Amino acid sequence: MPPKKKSIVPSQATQEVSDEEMDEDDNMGSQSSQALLSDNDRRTLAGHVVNYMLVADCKKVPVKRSEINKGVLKEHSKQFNNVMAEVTRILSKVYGYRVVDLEKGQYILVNNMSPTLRDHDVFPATRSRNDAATMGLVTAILAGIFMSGELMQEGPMREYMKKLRIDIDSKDPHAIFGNVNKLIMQDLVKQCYLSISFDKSTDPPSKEFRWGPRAHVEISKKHMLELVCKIYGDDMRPEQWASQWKVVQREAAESAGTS
Amino acid sequence: MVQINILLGEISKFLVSNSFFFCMEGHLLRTCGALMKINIESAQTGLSVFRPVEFAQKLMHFMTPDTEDDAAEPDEEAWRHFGSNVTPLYKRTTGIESMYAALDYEKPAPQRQPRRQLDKEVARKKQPEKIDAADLDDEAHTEDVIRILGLLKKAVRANNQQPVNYFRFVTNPDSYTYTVENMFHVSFLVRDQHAQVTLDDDGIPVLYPRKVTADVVDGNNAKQCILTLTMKEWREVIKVFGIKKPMIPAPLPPTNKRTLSQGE
Repeated sequence: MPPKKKSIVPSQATQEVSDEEMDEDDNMGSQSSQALLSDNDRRTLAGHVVNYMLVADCKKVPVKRSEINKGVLKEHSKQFNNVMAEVTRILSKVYGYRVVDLEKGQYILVNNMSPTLRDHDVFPATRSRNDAATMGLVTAILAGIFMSGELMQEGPMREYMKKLRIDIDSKDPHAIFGNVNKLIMQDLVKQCYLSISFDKSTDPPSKEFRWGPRAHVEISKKHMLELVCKIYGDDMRPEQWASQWKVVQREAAESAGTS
Repeated sequence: MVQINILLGEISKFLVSNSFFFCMEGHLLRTCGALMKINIESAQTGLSVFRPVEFAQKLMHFMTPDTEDDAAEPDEEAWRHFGSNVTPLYKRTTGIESMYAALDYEKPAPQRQPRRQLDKEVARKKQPEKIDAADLDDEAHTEDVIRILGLLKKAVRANNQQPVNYFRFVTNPDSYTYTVENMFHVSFLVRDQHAQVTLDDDGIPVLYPRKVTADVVDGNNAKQCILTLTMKEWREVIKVFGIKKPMIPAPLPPTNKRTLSQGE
């Protein structure tokens, strides 16, 4: 089940509405302090936050609200929502990025450009050559999880990875991916590509692998299913996978509803 | 399926009769449920069931298209290729790393002074080297110069010991470049005082070999001038003096190309 995601859509109407809502929820103190932030200050602070988020995006680790408050806004922390509205606008208009609010006040950046523009070699999404291979591995893992009903247990995951010549338990560095145990269990979880929970019914508790929130917003299940069919070959159609196809349909309906 | 039904039947009978085993009930039902699921899946032959290991096999073959099914072993290049092909599917952003170290960067002005001194030292070092190189050049040219001197002496002898018309001597009607080169060599002769240039009665410069005397030509007699010869002038010289063939034969293709390239 995909986690609830609330994305800050940069349109004038919703901005004003959310600002008003925030005003009503906040106490009188912040409402008066909101008036204190001049347009210039707002823009300057927003600029700093944008820089902060863009640099943080290099590591693909989500930015926390507390980090922004402590590092950038400091005494203007109460103006967080005000500034973030401007931040979202800048990121959208200037960079074509969408700010996605994961739960607990964590933010990630997602490329909001249309696919034809994203394909351009001018703006490569893979920083280094290693990145490309890692994205391949992430895709393989996500595909496996999705096709297994969006949840894969530790056992099957181990077997699946083993077939791909990757030992997920070993501390010995893999020729291509290095410390795969760390990569999968820690790095990819921190980057929100994977979500690992524990099944407590077994003894010892076994891991359960699901798509992380970043995976949900960055890649559509339709594309994943189509890729899987391409890999199987033989003109396999996505519709042949009944339960997975249902998930794809549901995703399409959800996105049609929100856009 | 039938076996499970029988099993369930037996369980319910069991439960009714003996309440002590309630704790076992849940676990047993769960196991039965799992068994049922597996049986249902294997019974449905028409629908596609996802088997990760089978998919892994297909994936590896997908990444290494030219290998046999069983031998597929994707290397780093194969993973990278696969990765770069799937990356467009993701709405991935790229963070921005500043190319400069820090936002506030003070240019190290004090460092410039020691650097300038270094440059001067390097310059000083280079000059002696240049002179050495020039000396070497002389040695390389000396052969040509000696040859030219010999030719000059021969020409003068042929001319009844009269000085030779400078232009007639250096000009090669077939080649402008060789003409310039001849002028170059002759200038060495003059510098080293193996030859002298004077103006004859008509005001035409003439060339005459001389012995290098111990007396260095003093300031009064020593004169320097710069000779230039454009292509246009060269053609005029050929026409005016009616030079048909060169007095200095064109040199054979040089063994080392330095002589031509250093005609500056």
